Amino acid sequence: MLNTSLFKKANIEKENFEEKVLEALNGQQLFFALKWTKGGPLVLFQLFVKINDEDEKDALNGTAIKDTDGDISIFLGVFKKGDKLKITFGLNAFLAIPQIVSMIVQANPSLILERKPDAGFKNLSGGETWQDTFSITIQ
Amino acid sequence: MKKYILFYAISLYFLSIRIAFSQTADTNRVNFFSSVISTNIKPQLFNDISFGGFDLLAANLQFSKDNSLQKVVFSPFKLFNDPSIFKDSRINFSQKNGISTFGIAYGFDNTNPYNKGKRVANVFMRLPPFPALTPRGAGESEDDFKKRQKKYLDDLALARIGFMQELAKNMISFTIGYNISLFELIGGTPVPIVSTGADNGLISNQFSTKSHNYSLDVNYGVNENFAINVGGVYKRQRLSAVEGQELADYYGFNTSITGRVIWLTPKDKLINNADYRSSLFIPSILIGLSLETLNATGNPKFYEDSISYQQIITPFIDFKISPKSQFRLSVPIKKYTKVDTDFVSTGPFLQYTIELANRN
Repeated sequence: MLNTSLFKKANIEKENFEEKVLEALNGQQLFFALKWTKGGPLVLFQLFVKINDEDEKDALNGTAIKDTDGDISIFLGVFKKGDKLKITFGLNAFLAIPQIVSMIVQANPSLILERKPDAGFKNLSGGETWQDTFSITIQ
Repeated sequence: MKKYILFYAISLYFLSIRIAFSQTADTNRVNFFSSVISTNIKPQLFNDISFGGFDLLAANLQFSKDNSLQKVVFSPFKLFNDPSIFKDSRINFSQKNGISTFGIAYGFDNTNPYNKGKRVANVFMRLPPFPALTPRGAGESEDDFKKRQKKYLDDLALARIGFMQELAKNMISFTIGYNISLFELIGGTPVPIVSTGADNGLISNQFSTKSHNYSLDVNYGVNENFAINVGGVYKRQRLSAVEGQELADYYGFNTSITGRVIWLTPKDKLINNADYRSSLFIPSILIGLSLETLNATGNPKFYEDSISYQQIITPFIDFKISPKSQFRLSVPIKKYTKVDTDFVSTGPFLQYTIELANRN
């Protein structure tokens, strides 16, 4: 399981607790995001995150996400410069989805680190599975 | 002046058709499709003004001795992405025995995820939770992981078929439409009739409009195998384009039932059929029965063929081989009343339906 706790390093038993909370808030928080035509039924069944040399972790915590809202964003954690990430996702369109895009986005500062497809949007037929991988080094 | 307005209206109509057709290259964005309800729900009396079916684009050719039809029904808003209350609106273009008909209908289809309805989302969210695909475990080889992933995707495909079967239950679509039918000549120099009869000197091409047609239809699919349709028509129609012709009022009613009786692909093998997996299309034979009635009121002098009442019962057999290859055999049994006399007649005809673009 991926540890997606934002304040992982803030220990409530220690005096520097608040300092660590602020430090986390100022860190590079990464999210996996999907945007698609609202109404389209979609199952996000795979989101593997590999950080540096660690084993791949399941960012969905064992349960696929089904949604029609056109918007899913999943917090991946706070990362530091030089971290190497490999993020593999898989989803299935239960009915045709005219437009969809997947992104790795960052807060503080806000950035779209990478998106798939690189430009425009992908069109999925009913029943089509889309699996792809992001490889990112935090700058 | 009226004729010029009509000409420009028709030009705009064709322009809109061209614009719409230019976008049909991307037909993947069509929503759920089920083959049980077709565009042939009004096979005889109202086939030229029908907006039936759930498809993005359907063409329909019908051949018979005295009732030949060429027809296209198109849902242009299905090509646009934004959810809209116009998503299931349709355009009809047909030609029947030399009369051209153009129509537009407001519609709603509760299997479309991109209209304003919430049913598709509700059915989808009621599905039980799916487990996520988990990463390669310690000791799991690459091949074992690929096998596990393939099995996972197969299970997901089965879950999706279950979802579509659920969506196919209680399908409802309705359309409220207007069609205008035009004579072959819609303009030009007035031509007087030269004869020895009472019509001598009357302008033969006085009118361009044959009829105004208003219709309401409701289609209900009980499941992927059985559907019914009920509709009503009000039309104002003139007998010919000759000067002095008046519009007579007609009131119509239509209903039909359709059921799947023979599966050309065994039910247990359907899951392997690509058309079924993608859009729930079932290669099969359906039988059905339709009833259409049309009652004329007003001055009998202006009734079409002097008929005051028509009733047509049409048993039919639909052969649905693939989404792009479907045809119908039917035997309409007509009963009609001329001003003073009753007649009953029959005549089989063949309808060939080409479902041009109805991918899921």
